[in-house]
Amino acid sequence: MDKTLKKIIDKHTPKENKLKNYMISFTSGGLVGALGEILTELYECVGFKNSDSITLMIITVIFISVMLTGFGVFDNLVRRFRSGLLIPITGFAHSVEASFIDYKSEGWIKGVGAGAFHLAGSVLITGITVSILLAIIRIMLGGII
Amino acid sequence: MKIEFDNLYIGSSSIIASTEEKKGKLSNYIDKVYDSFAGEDTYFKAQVKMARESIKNVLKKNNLKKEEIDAVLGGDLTECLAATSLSLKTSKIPFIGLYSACASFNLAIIIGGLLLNNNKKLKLIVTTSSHNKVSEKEFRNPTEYGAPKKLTSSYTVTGAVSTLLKGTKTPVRVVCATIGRIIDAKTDDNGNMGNAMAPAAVDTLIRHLKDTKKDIKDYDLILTGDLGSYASKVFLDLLKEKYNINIKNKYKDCASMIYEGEKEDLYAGSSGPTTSSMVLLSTIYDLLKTKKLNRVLLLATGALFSKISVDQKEGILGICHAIELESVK
Repeated sequence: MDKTLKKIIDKHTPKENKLKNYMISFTSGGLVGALGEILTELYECVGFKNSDSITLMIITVIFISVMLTGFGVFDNLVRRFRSGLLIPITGFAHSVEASFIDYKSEGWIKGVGAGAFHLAGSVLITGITVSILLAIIRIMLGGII
Repeated sequence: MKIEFDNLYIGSSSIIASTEEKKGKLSNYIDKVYDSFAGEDTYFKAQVKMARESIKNVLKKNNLKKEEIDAVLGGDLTECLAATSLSLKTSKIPFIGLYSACASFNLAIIIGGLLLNNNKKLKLIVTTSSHNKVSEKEFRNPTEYGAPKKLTSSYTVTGAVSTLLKGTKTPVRVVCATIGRIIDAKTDDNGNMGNAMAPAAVDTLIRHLKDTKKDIKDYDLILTGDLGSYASKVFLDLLKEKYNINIKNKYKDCASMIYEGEKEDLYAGSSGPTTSSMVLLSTIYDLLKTKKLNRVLLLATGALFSKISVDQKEGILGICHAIELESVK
C-alpha cells in the first residue's frame, strides 16, 4: 500500500476497545459456563448420574440457543455479548441453526443439506482432525486404554 | 476521457424502501414502504418485488406506458444481476445490465446519457436495488448469525430506486461524467470497504477536474457514494495531502444521509447502490430543482470483489464513476 495512504488510513481507522471486548466475552462466556454447571447440578439433584447429567445439560443448552436463534434473539445477544456466546457449544448450535434458516430458501437438498454446516463445517473438520492427531500421539506414547 | 451529454435530463423517480429507511432522513421521499419480506417468502424475492415496483412506479409518475420505454439500464449486488433481470421478467422492455457494485446507478446514467447523445427522443429507465439481508448472505455470514462486526463495516440499504432519463427539459440535467478506473489500494478487508474506495474517489475527482478544466469553486456540493464515516475522512485527507485540495466545506458522503442517529448496526454508515441513488433522487434532486444548489458532483463509489476473490486473498478493488448535475434555468 502507498505510504501516504497507509498513514492516513491508520490515522482514521477506529480502534476497537479490545480490553472491553475481552471482559464482556470473559463474563458472558463465564455465565454460559455457570448456566451449564447449574443445569448439571439440577439434573444430578433429580437423580441422574453425573455423566448423564452432563449430556442432558448439553442438550438443554443447545435447545435453548437453537430456540433463541429461531426466534431471532440470539444474533442480537451475540452483538452485545460477543464471543462469550460464540465459543461455547451455544455458538456451535447457533451457527448451524443460523445457516439452516438462511439456506432453507434454496430448498432442502441444495439449501439446508449443503448449507447447514456452512459455518460449523470448519469447526467439525478441525475438531475431528485434532482428535485423530491427539489419538495418534496417545497411541505412540503407549497410552492405549 | 471526457464525456459530455447533449441532452440528459432526469425525470420523476421512484424510491421504494423498507421500514428501516422509512424511519430515517429520507422518509418523505419514499413512495412505498415494505417490511424486509415485502409479502414474499424470501428476502431475495422481496428485493425483486421492490425493484419491479419502483420501475412500475416510474412509469406511473411520468405518465408513460412500458411500450414507450426504449430501454432499462441498471444493476444490483446479487449474483449475475439476478434481481434486476427478474424484476423485468414480464416487462418486454429491452434491458442493459450493468455492474459497478455500489456505483452501478451512476454507470447506468452515464451509458443512458451516451444513448441519448445518439438519439434525444429516447426514453430510458435507470434502476438499482439492494437488500440488507441478501447482501449479508452473499458477501458475509448467514443473516441470523449476527457475528460482531468491525466499526468500519457498513449497513446495506434495503430498497429499490428507479428514474426516467430523457432528452427533453426537466429541472435537473446531467452535464458531463467521468468513468472510473479500477484502483487497487491493496486492501483485502471486507469489513472496511471504504478504504478500498476512497483512493478511487480521489482519482476520479482529480481526473474529472482536469478533463472538464473546472475547479472545486465551480461546485456547490461534492458528494461521495458510500465511503462511510471513517473512509470519507481518508478521502478528504488524501485530497489534501496529495493534491493540496480542500473540499471540506462543500463535501458530504451519502452514507450518512439515509439513516437517522444511532442505529445500532449501522456502524460506518449505509452502503449499496441504493445509497447514492436514493440520496441523489431525493434531497439532492429537490435542492437542484429549487435552485438551492446549482452544480453538484456525485462521485458514486464501488468496491469490486466477490466472496471468492476475497477468500483467495486477491484483495478489494475500488471504482468511482462521477456525474455532474446542474439545476436547469
